[in-house]
Formats: sequence, C-alpha cells, structure tokens
Amino acid sequence: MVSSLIEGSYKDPSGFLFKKDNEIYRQINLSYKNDYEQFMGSGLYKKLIELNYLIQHEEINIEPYDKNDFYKTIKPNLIEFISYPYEWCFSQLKDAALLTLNLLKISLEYEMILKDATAFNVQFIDGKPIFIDTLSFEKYKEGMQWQAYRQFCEHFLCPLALISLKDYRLAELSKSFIDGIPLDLTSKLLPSSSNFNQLFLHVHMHAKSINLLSNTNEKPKNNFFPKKSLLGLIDSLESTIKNLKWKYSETTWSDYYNNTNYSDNAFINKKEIVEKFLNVTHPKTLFDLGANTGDFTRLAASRGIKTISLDMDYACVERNYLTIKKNNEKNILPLIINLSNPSPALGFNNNEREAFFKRKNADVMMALALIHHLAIGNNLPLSKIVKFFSKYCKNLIIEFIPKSDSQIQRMLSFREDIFSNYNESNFRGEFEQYFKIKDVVKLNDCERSMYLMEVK
Amino acid sequence: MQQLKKLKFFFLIFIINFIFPNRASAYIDPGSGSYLFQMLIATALGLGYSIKLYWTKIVSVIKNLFGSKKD
Repeated sequence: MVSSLIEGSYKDPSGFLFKKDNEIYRQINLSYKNDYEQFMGSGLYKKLIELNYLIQHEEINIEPYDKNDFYKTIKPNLIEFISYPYEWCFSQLKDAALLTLNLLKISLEYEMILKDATAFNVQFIDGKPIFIDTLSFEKYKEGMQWQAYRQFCEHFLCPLALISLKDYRLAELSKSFIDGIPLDLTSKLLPSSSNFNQLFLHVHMHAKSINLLSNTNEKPKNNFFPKKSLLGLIDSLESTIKNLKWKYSETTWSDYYNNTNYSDNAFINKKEIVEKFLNVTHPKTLFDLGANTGDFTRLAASRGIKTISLDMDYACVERNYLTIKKNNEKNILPLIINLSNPSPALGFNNNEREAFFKRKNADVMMALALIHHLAIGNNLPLSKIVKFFSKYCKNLIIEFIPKSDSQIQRMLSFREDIFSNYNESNFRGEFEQYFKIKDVVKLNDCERSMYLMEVK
Repeated sequence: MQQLKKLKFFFLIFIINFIFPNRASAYIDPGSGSYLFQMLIATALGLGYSIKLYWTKIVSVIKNLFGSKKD
C-alpha cells in the first residue's frame, strides 16, 4: 500500500504525519532526536499522558516514509473526528488555550518548552481538549524567550477577546486568518475598554511593537530572558484568558426547545422513535445536523455511538459543550457548522485543512426539524438536499415538516410562497431516487413524520 | 504626554536593537516586533510574578495562622 503525506503537517522540520494502510503515523526526523530523547526520558511524556493532556503514541518499526532524515516512526492513537478551531465555540477555544499554557508550564518543570502554539495542535475527545503534536516540545535553556508568544496571542487570545468583548460573529475571522487573527486588526476592533486590563499589554502594546519594529531583522545580543519573566508571561496570559467570558444571550435557536410548538407528548414520542431507529441501524458513528443543544445527539452518545453534534448557532453549541463538560459526557463533539456554508478546504493548495464533509462520513445522519430550513429558509431544491445526504451517510433519520406546521407558516409569513413542490409526496419521491425508505412514523400531537432511510 | 511615551518606547527599542545585534532563528517566525516586545516587558513580568508569588505565600501564612487559632 502506498504511503501518503498528510497535508498541513510538513511545516515543522522535526517531522511529519503520513498515512499508510488507513493508519496514521508520524515520522520523527534526525534533527529532532535530542529533543525527543529528552521528552521521553525526562518523564514529561509520562506526566502528560497521566494527565490526559497529550495523545498517546507507540514507537513502531515500519518502512520509513523518508529515509534521508529518518530517526523514528511513532503511531499516535487514532482520533475519531478531527475538528478545527474555527468550528469550536468560545469555551472550547478557551479550554484549548488554557491546555496549551498548562502544557507550557509543565514542560518548563522538565526543562522543555513549547516551540509552537497553534490552535490546530489541539483536538477534542470526550468533551476534553487534548494536545496532538508530540513534536512541539524542545529543550529549554535558561534565558530563552517563548518563540510562540505571538502565535499564541493570534490563535487564541485575539479570537477569544473579540468574541468576549465585541461580537461572537468575529469568530468567523479565524477561518480567513488560519495562521491567527493579526494582533493589529484585533487591536483596531476591540473596544477602548480593553485598554484597561491585561489586553492592553498582550494585544494593544504587542500590536504596536510589531508595527513599529516590523523591519528589524536582528535581535539583541544580550537577549537573556529570565525564567521568572517567562513564568510571569505565562501567568499573565493565563489570567487574561481566564478573565475573558462570553455571556450568550438567547439566540434564535438556543432556547428552541422551550419555545417550540412541540407538546411534551410529541417530544417524548420523537425521542422514542429516534431510539427505535438507532436500534435498527446500529451505527458506530452519527452526525446530528442542526442538533441545537444536542438533546437528540445524547440519545445516540449514551449508547456508545461516536457523534458530532452540529449547529450553526453559536449559543447552541456553547450550551451543548458546557452541558458535556458539566456532566462529563462522552462520545459527543459539538461543532459550529453552517450547512449552507460548511467549513471549506483551506490553506496552501487548499490542502492544509480539509473541508468538513471530506473528513469523515457517518454511518447515520440525523436531520431533525431541519429540512424546512434548507428547502425554504435557504431556497435549496429538494433534489440537491437529497444528493448531499446520500453522499455522506449510509442511513438517514429525517423528520418531514409539512407546510401547515406553525414553524413554516412563520417562515412564510412575510414572503411569497414560491415552494409549491414542498410537500410530503415530492419529499418521498426525491428521496426514493437515492434512498430506500425503511420506516415512516407519524409523530403524536402534530403533523410531522419521522423517516428512516438507507442509501441505495 | 502621548508623544513622550512614544519617544521613550522608541528610545528603548533603539538601545536594544543597535547596541546588541545578533540573528534570530526558529521554525515559526515570532516577528522582530514581538521578539523585542518580550525583551521590553521581561523585567515587569518577572517582577509581577515574584510579587504575586510572595503575596500568595503571605496570604497562605496568614490563613494558616488564622486557621490554627481556630483549632
């Protein structure tokens, strides 16, 4: 089987990721040998594994991917779903930032330091952030600065400050600036009140120095940076991050279940039907599209099914993540994904970061109370929606909402009804082109129907 | 006042930059501005950290004293 390089992992000369026989490996280059030996020998690796801060790996003997600079190959534990920082809610990004600073502090106790601080080095497993780049640790010598200070600020501090103090929609900037939101832009966008806390130092003054000194290409000879100053820098960043809060107001969807026209009976009935369909399909993986705060995702996750709980609403995903944290729930990854504009392929040659739906397919996709938003809210033809679902799953649990439903009536109250094809008969007809309908159940107390379908 | 602050800032950068030249190397580019900025704030960060540590120790000693009295 041919090995292939994993794009986006080639920037660090210490090593890279590659894929062989559907397994992921990391090659460590000779240039990283001394650092790796200290990392493993000092007890730092063991400590981080004990704390569940770092992805575990095993050293392995296979054909090197690149023999020229080869030192070792390691096989990290597989991560079920890869997500990117621009798909995380505020608290996910904040927890990832605090994990990075924690790793840095612990590393210094073992005479090592983090040489980079990109948010892409963090993933989420069972509601907890975990660091995935084993080659980010290098030997620390007394007097060293933290080279990744700016990167940390631009990857973590800038988006967190903008969401917390300006507008949560500015989180979208992380998608355009995949190397971090520039400090000078953040400084311009933040309100003047941010001059009276530690953001003055780490964002405003930091940005000013970069602008004033951008043409300097030499550093001072006497560049000794005491360890106490380094610890002070970490401590200051940590308290700055901890002080940033995002108090979400109820957005359109975050209070949906409290304001919806479902009766309690219909809601319980809907849960029973979902459970019945899950019993039939036995999925290992499930994507809940338009999951809101994840009530239905939990039905699957509690059965050990690995799930992604997607929603475009920032407050819904925040609430979902905070519930997972509070209850220590496993198997749910909440992500901000707008189905009418999901995360695209980004970076050099459009290869560094994969488009969301290219990363993994699901055994089951669940689309509850969603179809009308796509078909009527976004003017998407049913035929296009059907094709989309058939591409990325094996089974589909989907709820049909008729036009007479009060939710659709509300959507159409101020616009012309141009959706003459939107009815259950056409819905079935379009889906039957790509799916076999396995079961249909009418929901109690309302006109909605639940469908279980299998891709043909 | 603003002008004076700017002048002081420039003066510090000038001293660091032109008296001790040396080339930087790392796989990610911290940017010269960011690098020099860390040097500029080093003393303040170190001092702030030390004060915080001592303060925490003082508070903990007082708490212990108070606690032991209670016992």
